[in-house]
Amino acid sequence: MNGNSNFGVCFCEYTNGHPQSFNLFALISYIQNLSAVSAIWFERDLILSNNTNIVQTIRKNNIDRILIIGNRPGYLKAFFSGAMRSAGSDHSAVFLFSLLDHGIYTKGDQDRARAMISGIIYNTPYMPVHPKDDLPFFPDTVIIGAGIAGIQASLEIANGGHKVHLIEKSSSIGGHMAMFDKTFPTLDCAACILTPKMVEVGQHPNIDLLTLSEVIGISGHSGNFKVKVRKKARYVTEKCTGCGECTKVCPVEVPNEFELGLVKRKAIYRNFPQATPNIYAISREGMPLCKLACPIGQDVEGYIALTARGKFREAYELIRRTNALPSICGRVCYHKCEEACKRAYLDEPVSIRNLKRYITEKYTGEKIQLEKEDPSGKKVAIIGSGPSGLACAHDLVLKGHEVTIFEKQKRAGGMMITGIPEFRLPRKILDQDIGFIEQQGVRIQLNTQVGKDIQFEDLKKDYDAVYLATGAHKSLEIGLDNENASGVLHGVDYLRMVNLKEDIPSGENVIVIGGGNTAIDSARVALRLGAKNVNIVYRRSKEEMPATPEEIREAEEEGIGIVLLAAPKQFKAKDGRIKKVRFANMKLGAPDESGRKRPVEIPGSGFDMKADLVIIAVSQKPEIEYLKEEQIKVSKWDTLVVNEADLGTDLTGCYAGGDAVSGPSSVVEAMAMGKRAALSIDNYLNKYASHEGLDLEIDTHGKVKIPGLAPSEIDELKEKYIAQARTQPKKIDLQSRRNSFKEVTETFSDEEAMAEAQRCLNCTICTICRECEKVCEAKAIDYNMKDEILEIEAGNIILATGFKPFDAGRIETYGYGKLANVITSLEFERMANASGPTGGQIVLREKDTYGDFILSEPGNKPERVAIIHCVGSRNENFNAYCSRVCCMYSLKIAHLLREKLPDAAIFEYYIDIRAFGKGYEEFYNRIQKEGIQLIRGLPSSIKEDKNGLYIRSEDIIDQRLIEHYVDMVILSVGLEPQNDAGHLSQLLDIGTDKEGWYREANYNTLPVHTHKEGIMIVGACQGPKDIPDSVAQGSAAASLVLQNVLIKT
Amino acid sequence: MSERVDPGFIKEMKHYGTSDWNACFHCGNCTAICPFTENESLFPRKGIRQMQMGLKDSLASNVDPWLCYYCGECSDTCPRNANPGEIMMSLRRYLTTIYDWTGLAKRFYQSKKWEFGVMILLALLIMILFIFFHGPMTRELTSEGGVQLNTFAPWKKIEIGDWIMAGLLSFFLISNILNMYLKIIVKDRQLKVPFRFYIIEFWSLIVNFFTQKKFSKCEKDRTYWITHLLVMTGYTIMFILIVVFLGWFQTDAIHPWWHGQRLLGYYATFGLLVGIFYFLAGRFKQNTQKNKYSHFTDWSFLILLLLTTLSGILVHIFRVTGLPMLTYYTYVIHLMILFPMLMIEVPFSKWSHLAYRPFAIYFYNLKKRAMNRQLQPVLQ
Repeated sequence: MNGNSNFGVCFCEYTNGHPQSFNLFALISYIQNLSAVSAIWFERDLILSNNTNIVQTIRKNNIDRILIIGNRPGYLKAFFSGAMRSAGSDHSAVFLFSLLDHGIYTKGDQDRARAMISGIIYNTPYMPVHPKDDLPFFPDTVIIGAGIAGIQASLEIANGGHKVHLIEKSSSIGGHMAMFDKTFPTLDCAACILTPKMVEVGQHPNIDLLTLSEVIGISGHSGNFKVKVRKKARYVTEKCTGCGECTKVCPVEVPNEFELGLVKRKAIYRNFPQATPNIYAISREGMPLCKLACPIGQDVEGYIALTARGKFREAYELIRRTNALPSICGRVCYHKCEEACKRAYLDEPVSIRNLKRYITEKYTGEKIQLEKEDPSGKKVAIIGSGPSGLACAHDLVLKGHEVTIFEKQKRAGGMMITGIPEFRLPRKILDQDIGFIEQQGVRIQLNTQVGKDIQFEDLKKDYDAVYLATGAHKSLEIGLDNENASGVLHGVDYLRMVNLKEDIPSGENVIVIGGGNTAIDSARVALRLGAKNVNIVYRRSKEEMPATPEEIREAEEEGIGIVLLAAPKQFKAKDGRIKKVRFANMKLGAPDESGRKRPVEIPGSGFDMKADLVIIAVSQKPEIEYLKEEQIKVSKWDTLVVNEADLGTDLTGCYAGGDAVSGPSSVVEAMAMGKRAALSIDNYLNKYASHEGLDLEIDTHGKVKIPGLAPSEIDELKEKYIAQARTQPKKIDLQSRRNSFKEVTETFSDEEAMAEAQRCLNCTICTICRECEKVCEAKAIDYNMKDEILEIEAGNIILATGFKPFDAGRIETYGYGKLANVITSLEFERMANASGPTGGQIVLREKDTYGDFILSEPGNKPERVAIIHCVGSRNENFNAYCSRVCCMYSLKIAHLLREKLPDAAIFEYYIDIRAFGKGYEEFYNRIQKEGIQLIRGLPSSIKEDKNGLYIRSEDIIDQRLIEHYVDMVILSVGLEPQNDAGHLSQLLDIGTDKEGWYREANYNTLPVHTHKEGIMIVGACQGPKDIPDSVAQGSAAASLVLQNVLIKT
Repeated sequence: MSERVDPGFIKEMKHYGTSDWNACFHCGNCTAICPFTENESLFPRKGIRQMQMGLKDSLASNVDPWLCYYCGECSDTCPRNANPGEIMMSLRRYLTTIYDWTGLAKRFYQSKKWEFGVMILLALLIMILFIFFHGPMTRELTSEGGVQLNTFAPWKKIEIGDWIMAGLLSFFLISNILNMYLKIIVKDRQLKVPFRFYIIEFWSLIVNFFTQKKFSKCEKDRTYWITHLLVMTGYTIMFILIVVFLGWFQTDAIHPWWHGQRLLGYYATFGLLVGIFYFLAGRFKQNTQKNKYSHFTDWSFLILLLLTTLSGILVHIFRVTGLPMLTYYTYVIHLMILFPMLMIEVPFSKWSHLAYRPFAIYFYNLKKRAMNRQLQPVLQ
């Protein structure tokens, strides 16, 4: 950017059609007076065959930039480029300013014209000047868009010996032509003439085919562009043979975009049988939030999808893949997944835990031997049979190691058995899950306490690695007098005593101090053991209670009182037995380090509560006595300190996890640590050099911040789905709840389970249910593929992005989208296509119970069909231009109809018939002879009643009204620029006209050039056109590219 | 014999409205969506074709523009934004000038100077007549406290004037209708309308004249139709009162408000005001197709009617509250507006639609019957 450039400005003659009142002379005199402008020329003074004068002027004034101003100034560019080159200046510093493109018409536009032109002349940033020719020239070409034009261009260039990067947004090349049945005017089958080219592209050594790829950035200039491409993850590798077994088992259905929504496709799909590359692709929108939220990374969406479709065993197998204790989790997991569930924005989250329970109940108890690796000969000791130890043991034993768990209690399960009451987790379920792990080969030695029955030293000697998973079972004390009076217990001890059927203390007036799940469980247990009054006292407010809301609710339902904002001050005992507790009232102050508001005593307040049993449940800490000789670091809260990356302690070969490391947490988080430890230990035992290379997928689960939805996304959700509350599982009656330890909630019935599973929104489309992976013999599925960002160096870029069809729904009177048998021309092509959704049969559509359109039986054919031209084209209210191809394709459609429905009445409504050039008039003639009623006069509306679709129009030729009923109406929709045309035009800095088609340098003489050297436009993206013209432009651009490459190399 | 194409005609049409009639490319969308078009009368596109080609004879015999009530759906649907609704309106203006054999209508539509000039002339005529022939402008009030209007302007004399005016209006209007009849029915040599059809269809003439029944079928415009009916009944009552019952109506007595003379007057005034304000508001807001484009004749009609109504209200107020001089002057002004309004609007300008529309429907029904009758042997 420099303000020292010298401009030469040339004004073109006004061509026809430039509007009138703009004062060109005022603009000319303004520009003449700009200091950076050294010379002004007028087109009429140029001698195009002899540029000597111009060259002299350029030399004399040191002109280094030329600006040509006119309506469509491109045609003079070559002349000035040549002049600049002859003068020794930069031939590519010739800029064009189109008055027409910038809407400069009237005298009111004068200021704007001046501002824009002086901006160019004083070098505003968007006008970089090409530096001298010493930058490297990249001989490769990037072609954006792999429709017929892009394919043609790529083949021409590749056959010319140069490399092409063909970038295509969808999963296969072919563009719109691949959707057609036949092409006009020859009535060749579209696939027959396209697929040989597609195959050639797929196999050509000079063509680098990038599908599912989009251009996200471009920098550089002609000759050395750097194109940034995002290649989306396909999740299927090149090993795919295209056999199609995966599609059969995929449970997810989405509307099929290639079939224009006429039918559905699966999440794993291929556009059409001749797709190139012939590799399936999986539609997946990132990672499911539920899976990300789960600490062990369960494939939640996967097993829910399988459940929804009745594939219960497959769901169970998927759960078991990552979860060693699924039945238990199905009852007590605190379901982080449900909190991340997007359905919550609509109504309520999917009842995931209860569904897991339903599935596991069907198959737990079955004796299944999972696949184990060969025995490694290594032995691992695990201390503690809680969830952490069990999960670690399960994973390690499958890796072929010998695992022994040492458990100090008389039963296995850790906190699950000592801390969770039976009415939440029945003994049988616990035993089943633990039994399964033992079945895989894990040995559990009960009644063995390390430090008493066996020494830590022995473990270090006899085993190759040790995992410490002793949990946190020692209650914290409040520190008041009489804390060890008779009748005062701590929560975990109380629960353990009850669960292990030791001496169970009872009481009539029970007070439980604390607000976590232990407190709630203790209260509910006390109630069941016959207490008359049970109260939970918590020092903060209800919102801060750490217990899960459903637990709190169930406790309240059972009649347990909750006293808030009160803390104990004194235990009043008599003869060593507790009699009363004195409490002080609290209020909430500033937050403490846990983020919760600190309770502050209200001075002078207080009240007494009678009690004969007081249970203190204010958190626990690990017992670490047995490690006091070891070098293992311990924190001030008595938790073991480990290396975050691999859960290793300072003692080599010794790892730790679970509550012993994190402090009191949850079953699933303990399991997650156990699984991570298993990977670390496995690595260690196999003597990998470092601990890099672990599957870090597990590391981030449960710790990722789940993003919320934006308000617009929430609105979209509410529009698309109907709110429906989640299924609540049945509960046993309140009486049974109060006086027995029977499980409170029941499992879903089959109907309830499927209905609830079907509430899942399928947020990510592919749910990673892994069914396709199971059946893929080529082992081509890879769920861990990631999007790639590539940077391609190219000397030339060809844009071949094509068109999109006009959305017929915008013309409401035609009823498209509301009337089942009003379809577009493209939808008809798919129906007529032998590899389409109906196998080539023309059938009517119906509405199903949801109001969606479905294709009816093969025999249900239309007998009277109308085709309406100019839908969305030649219409000032939509697109004023004519889309060029619709008349011809409408006649082709009439032919296809006549072929497949020999007796049908076919009416074609038109304004004019555009059948220009070679072969088109003859085609028109041929179709007419097949017997169709051509009516000049468009209908303006289609109405439906019990007799069918009613159409009325004026028969202009015969001067009367024609009104009748037909069975099907085909709307000949026009062509529009693609949705991303505007975005790409900005990225590449090439212009579009006011309708959005890319702007060529000159309509007549430079139709594939743009104003930017090195960037060409071909095919329908330059303007609506048919296949022969697109192919011709493809070849034309290819010749330009080869010309460029020839000169430069 | 084939018609000549007149390329210059399109320039003449510029006086009658603003529309891009050259843009019409005859797609037929407008005819397809029009709720009133029938096989025997395909519009609006046909009229546009005739206009583009300058087929004056065809246009003169084309009754279709009068069958249109400007619901505006054709304009909404037209892909070229050629505004067929407004073209129909322009054709109505054009036809008004064609039916008038005096040539005055044409002048009024094409030249503001003519319209306002003649208006002022007629107003001055009234003023002069009053200057020379008025009765005493007594300040003495009646026993009821009202003004002695009939002393100043004796109703018997005014009545004579009213009868002359009514006679002139009838003469011009009826002769124009005859002209219309000639162009539509008589000139169509192929059409034979048996006499009995005239009798059978006569009822439709009466009904449409008084109720604009066909208009009520425009679903979108029911409010418009009812309001129009209010205005129509309002002025009709007024017209009859001042022509036939002037003695009863222009009384010096002050009747109680529930008396027929007052009630009828109030109804008429109410209907007129409601309607005029509704139409004026619409034309200012330009919120529907029929409101978007206003020719100066549209404005002059409404404004003249409004001024007549307002001045009439003032006369009444001043009379019953006993303000003699104001009453007399306002009375004169009232007549100075009323007389030119009626004389210009009814036979030569927009108000002529009171006759042309119902007669157009009548003639169209006649033609339809005749055509169907003539086709019968062919169909059998």
